[in-house]
Amino acid sequence: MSSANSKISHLTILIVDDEPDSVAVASDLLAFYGAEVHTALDGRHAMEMLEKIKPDLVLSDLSMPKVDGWELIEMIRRNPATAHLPVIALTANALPKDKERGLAAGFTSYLTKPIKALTLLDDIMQRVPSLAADS
Amino acid sequence: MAAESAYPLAERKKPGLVGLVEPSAAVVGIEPRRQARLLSSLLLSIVVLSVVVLPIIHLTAEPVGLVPLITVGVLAAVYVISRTQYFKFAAIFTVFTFTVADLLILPTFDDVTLLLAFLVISVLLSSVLFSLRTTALVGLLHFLLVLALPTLNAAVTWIHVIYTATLILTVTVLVLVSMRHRDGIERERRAQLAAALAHEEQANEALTDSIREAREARAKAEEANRLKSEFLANMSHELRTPMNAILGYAENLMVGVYGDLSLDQRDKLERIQMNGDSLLLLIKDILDMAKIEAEHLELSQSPFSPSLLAEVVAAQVESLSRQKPITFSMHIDPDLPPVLLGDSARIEQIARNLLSNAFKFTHQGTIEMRIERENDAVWALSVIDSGIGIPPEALEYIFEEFRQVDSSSKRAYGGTGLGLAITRKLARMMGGDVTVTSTVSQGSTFTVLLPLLLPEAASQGGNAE
Repeated sequence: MSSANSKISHLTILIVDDEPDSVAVASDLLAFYGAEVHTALDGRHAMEMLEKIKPDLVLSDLSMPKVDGWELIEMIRRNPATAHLPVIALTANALPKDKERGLAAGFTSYLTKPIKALTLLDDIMQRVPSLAADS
Repeated sequence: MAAESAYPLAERKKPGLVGLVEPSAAVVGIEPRRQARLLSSLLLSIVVLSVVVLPIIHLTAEPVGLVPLITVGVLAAVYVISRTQYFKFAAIFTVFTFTVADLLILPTFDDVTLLLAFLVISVLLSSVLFSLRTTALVGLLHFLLVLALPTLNAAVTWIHVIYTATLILTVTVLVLVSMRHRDGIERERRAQLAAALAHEEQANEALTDSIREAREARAKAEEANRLKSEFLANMSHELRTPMNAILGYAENLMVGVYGDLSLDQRDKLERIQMNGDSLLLLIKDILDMAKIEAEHLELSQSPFSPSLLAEVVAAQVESLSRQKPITFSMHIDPDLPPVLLGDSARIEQIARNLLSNAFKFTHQGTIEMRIERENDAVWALSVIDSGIGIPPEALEYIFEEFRQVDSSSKRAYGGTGLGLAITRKLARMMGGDVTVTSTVSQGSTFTVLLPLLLPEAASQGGNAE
């Protein structure tokens, strides 16, 4: 975990989730390891944040009010500025076909809740190109 | 009739002579056709008789007059009409002519027997050609005619009258009785036919009804199934969300995200995590079971390494083996192909279920996991323990849902009672099965037999050997 500490400490991460506890669990953990964490409560809010903070990685829920995770990934992939941004789906939709659909929609990876801290940190390190190249 | 219906339809439709031999196709229905045929043959024989016989008779007396020739010509015309769909008119005309001829020749005709015979023939003819009511009328008319005969013709005596009247009456009555009988039979047949038709219609309706009902039932079942799977997906989502918060905060606390904890606090936190984890497993098991029951569980077919799978599962249960004085070992058959085809996640679930059961019910001794090639078509995954064992009577039901050996063991050992049920259902879905042998206080052996499937490339390599 100490290696994770040093590795993700320079990352800016955007967490998108409408459920306050889900946001808190992930953001508390990532902030604890030194990442700069921003949060958005839905897809529309997230799109505004993307312009402003230019994150290294997005962690997004799927079912959200207004603009949900599916619409968000579509907008992110369509915009040339964010087309290659790593976006991890973190959702309670755990059916195998949901995962297939998620990866097909353009998510970089698909994680299911409840998530283990180690699994989340590992996945983040794999998905950010600069970190993946190191290891 | 039989010969006629044996004619091919196309042949009968040919115009020309053929059309004149049999009643016109325009005459529909069996009864009218029969009547038309009778009438035409009658007329034909009269025409032939007139042409051949009359001149011979008249040769001896006087030359052939105009009247017989006209009669023959009219009869021939009537014969032609009788071949068409207007045969009814020909029939009416014939009987009418016969009656009129009777009346015309009555006063002067001296061959009384022939005259009286004509009267009887008229009644018979109308009985053949007309309905019951018309025949009765013609019979009555002729009866009255006979009674009036002596006043019209001096040659007729009362003996003749009584004789002929009785004959006409008898013939009429006989004809009427037989016609009534025939009509009765006809009515009965029609009633039977109608009943049969009604019955068939009813049966048809019933069939249509049951088809519709079956469709509705199927639609309902499909809808229920859709709702069930929707409910399962929602349930899974709704359970995982709070579990994420509970286990997530607990882990954050453990890692130290919210500050340092005392040893006692860490200990209690560990309890929360352990209980949370088993709650999560239970939720997964219940959803799995429900998915299998609703037949929504889809198995994948992808290449996997059985030895790697065994190592992964062993690593997962490693912590369990350190809690008790148990020696855990693993044996992988070198004859087993290194890569097999199957749903590795579900096979892993089976292995994990069996291994965690073994660790749960073994307090000390050994636990062994073996992966072997049974034969060319089957491979086996066995877990052998030296645990408490299973009494023979319990062996029958341990694969049923929510069953453990007894409720006291449920309290003592925990678990959902779903693990073995899921294991068996998964094994059977994969085309295999699970068996168990056990001796109380010596241990148990669970063996899962699965079809040995090779990935395309590997199987080709195998064939080449």
